[in-house]
Amino acid sequence: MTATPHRHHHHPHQHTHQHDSFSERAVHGEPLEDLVIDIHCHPGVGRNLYWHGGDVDDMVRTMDETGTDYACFSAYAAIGPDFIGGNDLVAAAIRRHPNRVLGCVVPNPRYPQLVVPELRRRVEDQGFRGIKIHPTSHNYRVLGEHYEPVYEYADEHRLPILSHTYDSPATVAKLAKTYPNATFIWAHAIWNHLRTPNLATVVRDLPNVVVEMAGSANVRGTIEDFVRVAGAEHVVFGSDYPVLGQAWQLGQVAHADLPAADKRKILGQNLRAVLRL
Amino acid sequence: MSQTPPAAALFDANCALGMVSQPGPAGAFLTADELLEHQARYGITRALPYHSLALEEHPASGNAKLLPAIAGQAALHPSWIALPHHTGEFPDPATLLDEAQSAGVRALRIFPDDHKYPVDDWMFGDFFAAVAGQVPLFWHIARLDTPTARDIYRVCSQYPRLQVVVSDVGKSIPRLITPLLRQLPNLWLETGGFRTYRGIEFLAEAVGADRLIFGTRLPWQSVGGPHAELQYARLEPAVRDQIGAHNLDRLLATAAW
Repeated sequence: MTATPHRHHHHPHQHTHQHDSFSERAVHGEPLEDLVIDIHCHPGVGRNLYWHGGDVDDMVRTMDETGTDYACFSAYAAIGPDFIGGNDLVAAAIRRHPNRVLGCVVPNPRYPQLVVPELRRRVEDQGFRGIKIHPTSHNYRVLGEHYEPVYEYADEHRLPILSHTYDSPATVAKLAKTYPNATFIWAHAIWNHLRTPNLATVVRDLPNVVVEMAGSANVRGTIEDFVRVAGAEHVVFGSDYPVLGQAWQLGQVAHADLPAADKRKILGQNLRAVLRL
Repeated sequence: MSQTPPAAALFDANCALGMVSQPGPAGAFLTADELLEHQARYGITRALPYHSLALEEHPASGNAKLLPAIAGQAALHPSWIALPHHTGEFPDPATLLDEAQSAGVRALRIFPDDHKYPVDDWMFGDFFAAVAGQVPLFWHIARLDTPTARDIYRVCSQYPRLQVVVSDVGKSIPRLITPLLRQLPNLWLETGGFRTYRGIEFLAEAVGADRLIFGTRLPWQSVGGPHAELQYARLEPAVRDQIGAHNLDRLLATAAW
């Protein structure tokens, strides 16, 4: 099925925690009302992990339940052994749910001759809106030569690149300055904040870098403290579902001790601009 | 905007009160009132806390701090952390149970990974034998890997009257926890670390919702994660209430005192 994105109500008051509509609805398990975009979603099955469901229709059903308007899919197979097959799966998901599913094309730099043709086909022919790379799973350096065409393509087409890692604040800064028209989305990175104190200050000064907050080491207060330093403009919502529970990750933002205006940016507005929705 | 109370009153099976060595930016809960006030935001009206110093300093001295810290708070039910007794630094199992009963302790906990001991019989068999049939035991693990799963299987099989709640699990556990729960009727799962997508629904269907117990891992972790995972789960409200509170009520009611 295809569904119309949720209504985008805007609330005039800015409160923190339990006094805004985000926590009010989340505490009851109701769909959020404001724009929600999930940048980090992996349809498919896992060799090393088991999750219940996780097929495309099930994931869209979860979006309905949590109030997620758009989800950017990159297939679990694509960040593993089969980036072509995984990208095919996402292309089919876009066709099936054109108003809800966005695509992030995954290139595997270990097949360098296939990278640029794959980017072109997915972005220019099939409407993918971003790129996902996984330097850890593909065991390839962030600054390795076969990622350079990926960054160049993103820069040329003004695309976001979601990466499992950018290694260090210095590395992401180098990329951001070299490719100023691309947006570098650093997955999971908000949870590095406490042990990488210059992450927030480096990101704060880079207009084309944001961190994402899916993760398993959710130290209480980290999101709020990162926002205090870097600003809500530099944080975006991603859940990594179905590897992780989408509701779990959403709940951390919905219940954060942040003004509603900041939650609105993190959950949807920042990504709307990046994805040009 | 006024806040509507959540439908169900939740019972938090896994939280700590007191100072911790590595608090996050949001800090720790130094008083019972602070803990209860924070939990109330999420509709958590009761909890089974342990004292953080029992984990991070020493079980004997930390346990002694818990009762004074929660005095007069009917919503907080005490739980103690146990340690092997062979060095004389902790009571033997019989003495521990006497003291726990006198103190009104509702559950015991063990942290074998943090406190650096194996759960083999030469180390802890007398403890498991003594606790079996007396009081529920929360077994906190660093990771549900193959050796830990084997330990849980062996202990629960060998002591069938022992009631074990495995706690502080992570995301990657369904392939291990599913057969464990199926084959061990004396095993429960506390969900405070269980961030697997649709994991709660899966286990509720596969092994029964009566085997799942809600927890938060406060003060280290945001309640928003485990709370939302339960609240957004595709469950009937009665089943959600069961996981959120009633299963823990039933388990605690089985204690010998």
